[in-house]
Amino acid sequence: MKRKKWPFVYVGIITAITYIPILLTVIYSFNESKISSVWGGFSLKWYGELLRDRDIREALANSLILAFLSCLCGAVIGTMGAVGIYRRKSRLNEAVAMISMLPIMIPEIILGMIFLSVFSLMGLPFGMLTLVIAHTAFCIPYIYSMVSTRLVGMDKALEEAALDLGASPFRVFWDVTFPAILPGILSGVMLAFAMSFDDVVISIFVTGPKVNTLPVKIYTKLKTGVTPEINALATIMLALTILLIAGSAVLGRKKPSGKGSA
Amino acid sequence: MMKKSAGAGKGSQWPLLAPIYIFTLLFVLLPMLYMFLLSFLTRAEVWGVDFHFTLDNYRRIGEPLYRNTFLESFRLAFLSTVLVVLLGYPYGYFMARMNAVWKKRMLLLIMIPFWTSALIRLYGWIIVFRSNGVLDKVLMGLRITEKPLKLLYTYPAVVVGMVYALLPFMILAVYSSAEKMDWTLVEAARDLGASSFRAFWTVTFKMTLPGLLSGIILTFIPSMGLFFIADILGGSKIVLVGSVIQEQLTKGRNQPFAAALSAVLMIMTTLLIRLYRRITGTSKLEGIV
Amino acid sequence: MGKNTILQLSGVWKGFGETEVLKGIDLEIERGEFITLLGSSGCGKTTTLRIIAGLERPDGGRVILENRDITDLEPNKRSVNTVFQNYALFPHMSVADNIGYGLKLKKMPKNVIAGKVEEMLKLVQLEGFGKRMPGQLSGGQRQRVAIARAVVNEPRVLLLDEPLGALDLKLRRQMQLELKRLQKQLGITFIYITHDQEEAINMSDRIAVMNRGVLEQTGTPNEIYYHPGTSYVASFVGSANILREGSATYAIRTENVLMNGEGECVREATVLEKSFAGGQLRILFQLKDGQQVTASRYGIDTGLQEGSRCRIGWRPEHAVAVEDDG
Repeated sequence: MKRKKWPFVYVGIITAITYIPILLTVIYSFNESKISSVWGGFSLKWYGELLRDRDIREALANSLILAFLSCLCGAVIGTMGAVGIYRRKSRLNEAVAMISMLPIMIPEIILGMIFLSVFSLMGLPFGMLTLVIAHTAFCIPYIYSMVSTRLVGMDKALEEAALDLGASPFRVFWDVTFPAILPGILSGVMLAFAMSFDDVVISIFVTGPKVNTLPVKIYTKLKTGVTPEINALATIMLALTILLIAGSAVLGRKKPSGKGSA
Repeated sequence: MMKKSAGAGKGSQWPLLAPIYIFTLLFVLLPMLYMFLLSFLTRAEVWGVDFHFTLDNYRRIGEPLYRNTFLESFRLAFLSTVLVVLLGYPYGYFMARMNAVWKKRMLLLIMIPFWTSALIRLYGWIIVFRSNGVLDKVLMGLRITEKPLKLLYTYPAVVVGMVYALLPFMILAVYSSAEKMDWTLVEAARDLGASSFRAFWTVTFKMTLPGLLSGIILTFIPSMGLFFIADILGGSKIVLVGSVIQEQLTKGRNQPFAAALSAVLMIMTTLLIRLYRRITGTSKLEGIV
Repeated sequence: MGKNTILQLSGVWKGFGETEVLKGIDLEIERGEFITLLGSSGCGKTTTLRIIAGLERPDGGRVILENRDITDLEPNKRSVNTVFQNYALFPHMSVADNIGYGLKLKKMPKNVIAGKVEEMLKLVQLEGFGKRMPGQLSGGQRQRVAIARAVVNEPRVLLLDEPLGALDLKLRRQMQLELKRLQKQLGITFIYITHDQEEAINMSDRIAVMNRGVLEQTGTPNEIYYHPGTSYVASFVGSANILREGSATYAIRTENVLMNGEGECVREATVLEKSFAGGQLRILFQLKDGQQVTASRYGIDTGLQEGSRCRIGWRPEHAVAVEDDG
C-alpha cells in the first residue's frame, strides 16, 4: 500500500497544538519577569519562591500522602478482587466488577457530589480520611482492569503446573500468579497515582477546611489571580506525571513471558 | 464449555473477594442509591437534609433559570462533542494505521496530556488567550489583528478548553477499536469492487463505531459537568449544570437539588451507555483504561 | 485389581454443565507401562488426564493409585506429575529453577536440588542450559525442560498431555523416540495423550481408544490395529472402511481392498474419485447398495478411470466383524 503523507501531517499538527499550552507553562515557569506576558530572561526564582511557600509545601505533602494511601488501598482491594473474580466467574462477581468500574465511567462531578452527600450523612469528618476513600474509589478501577488484563493474558496452565508440582494454593499465588500480574499492578498503580495526584473535581468536594491538595490549591489560586509561581508548580506536577506515565507504559508493555523473552 | 478447575481455583475465594465487595457496596453502590433517594428529599433549614419526600427538586429543574442552564450546557456539550469527533476520529484512525514504532510513539505522546491534570493543561490556555497573551502577540505580529482580542473569558475560549480536555478520550477510544480491526477486511471490500470511500463506510466505519460511540459517551455528558473549565476560561459568564451542582453543594448547601441535577446527568449517562450496549453488544467502553 | 496395577479408574464420570464429558471410564494401568489415551478432540481424554492429576474432580467414580483412593486428594499432594500441552514453564524462572521447583517445595537442601537438576539436564541433553530463561529456548528444548521438571520429582505416574503437539513433524518423530527411551530408562509409568494414531502406535505398550466420553477399546497397538472391536476404532485407527451388511458390520482396511477381481468376497463397484496424497493412491468406490469403499495403494496407478465399473474384493480374514457404534 502506498504511504500517504497527509495523515502524518494531520496527526502532527493536532499533537503540536496539544502541547502548546503545556510547553508555554513550562517555558514561562523559567521567566524572570513577574508579568507573564513579558519575557524577562531565564530564572529559577519562581521555583525558589515555591519552596519557601509553606502552604504549597504542605499541599504537596498532602497530595503525595493522599496518592500514596489511595494507591495502596486501591492496589490491595483491586488486585485481590481481580484475582478472586478471575478465579470464580459468576453473575454476581461480574456485576460487582462492573459497579466497581463506575467511578471512572460517570462524570467526575457526580462522583464528587455523591461522596460529599454520603460523607456528610455518615458524619465523617472531611479531611484526609474522606479524601482517601474517594480517591480509592477511582484508583480501584485502574488497578483492577490492569491486573485483570494480565490475568486473562496469563497461561492458566502455569498455575496448574505449580499445583501439579506440589505447591499449596498460597505458594501457587506467590510463586506464579503474583510475578505474572506484578507489572499490571505496578502500571495500574502508576496510572492511579497520576490520576489521584492530579484530581481537582472530586477533591474539592470531599476535602476539609484544613487539608488542601496541590490541585485544589492551584485551582483556588487560579480563580483569585495568576501568579508566576503557578507556572513552576504546574511544571513540577507535569514532570511528575510524565515520569509516572512513562513508567506505567514501560511496565504495561512488558510481555507476560518475563525477562527471558527478547 | 465452562471448565471448572480444581486446585488453585477451587475452594472459597471470599477472602480475596471480601474487600472489593465491601468497598464497592459501601462506597459505590449504596452512595449511588443514596443520591437517587436524596434527590427526592428536602433541604434542612440550617444544615443537612430532612427525610421529607418531595418532587420539588425535579420540578425546580424545569424552572426557566435551570432549564436554560441545561439547554446551554447541552448546546456547549453538543458543539464540543461534534468538534471532538471531527478532530479526534481521523486522529485515532490514522494512528491505528501507522506502523508499530510510530503507534507506540504517538500513543505515548497522546497519553501524556491524557493523564496530566486538566487543570494544568487549561492553565496553559490562559497564557495563550489572555489579553496581550501569546495568541494576541502572534496575531498582532502577523498584522492579522490590530488590538488584543480579549479571548479569555469568552464562549470560544470555553469551547477550545472543552475540546482540548476531552479530545484524548475520543482519540484513545477510536484508536483502540480501530487497532483491533482486521485491515484485510478493507482490502477484501476493495477487492470486491468497493470504492475507497465505500470500503471505509461499509467496513472501517462500522468496525470503529464502538470506539466512536464510547468516545461520545466519554465526551458528551462529562462536558456538562466540567465546571472548572467554564470557570477558568469563561469567567463566571458561562454557567453549566456542573457549575450549578457545585454551587448548590458549596454555597447553597442544597444537597437534594444537587442530587436531582446529578441524577438527571446520571440517567442520561446510563441511557447513553445502554444505547451503546444495544448497538455494540458489549458494556465495556473502548479506550477507558 | 491386578497385582501389578499402579493406577485404577473405576466408573469415572464427569459433566460440565449440560454436557457429559466422561460417561463411566474403567481403566487399569500397569506399573511401568506406556499407555496412550487416543481419541479426537472433545473425546474426554484430556479430562481423564486432569482427573488423574487432580486438576478436575470427577462427579462419580474413584481414582485409585497404588491401592490408595486419591479421588478427593488435592493435586499438590499427589505423587503424579504432568507434562502440559504448551509446556507451562514458569516464564520468570530460569530453566534450573523450573526443574528444581518441585524439589524446592519438598524443602530439599539446595545442594541436593542443584545436583538433581544437573542430572536431569544431562538426561534430557540440555547440559549448560540451566541459567537460560524459558523464553530463550526453542520449542523442542522447552519440551525437554517440561519433561525434566516433571520427572525430577520421581512421580509414580507421569501424565503427558499431547506433549509433542506444538512441534513440527521432524522434531516430533525424534522426540517420540526420545520419550520412549526415557520411559524405558526411568521405568516410570507413562500415561500419554494424543489424537495422532500413528504416534500412539509407535510409542505405546497399550492404547486406550476413547470416543465421546467412553472407552471404546483397550489393547496393544497390534490388537487395536488388526482387531478393532468397534467401527469407531476401526475407522479412527488406520482409517478402515466400515461396511454394513444385514445385521453385521465389518471393518476392512483400505490397503486390503483388492481391485483386480481377486479375493473371495467380490462386489460390483463404480469408481467415484481418485486422489493422490502422501505417496498414496486412494480410490473411492461406490457399491451397488450405495455404500462407499476406499482402496489405497502405494505409488502404482491402476489404470482405473473415474466412472468406470470394476469388481473389488477382499479376503474374508480381512473383513473384521466389529460392533457398530456409528
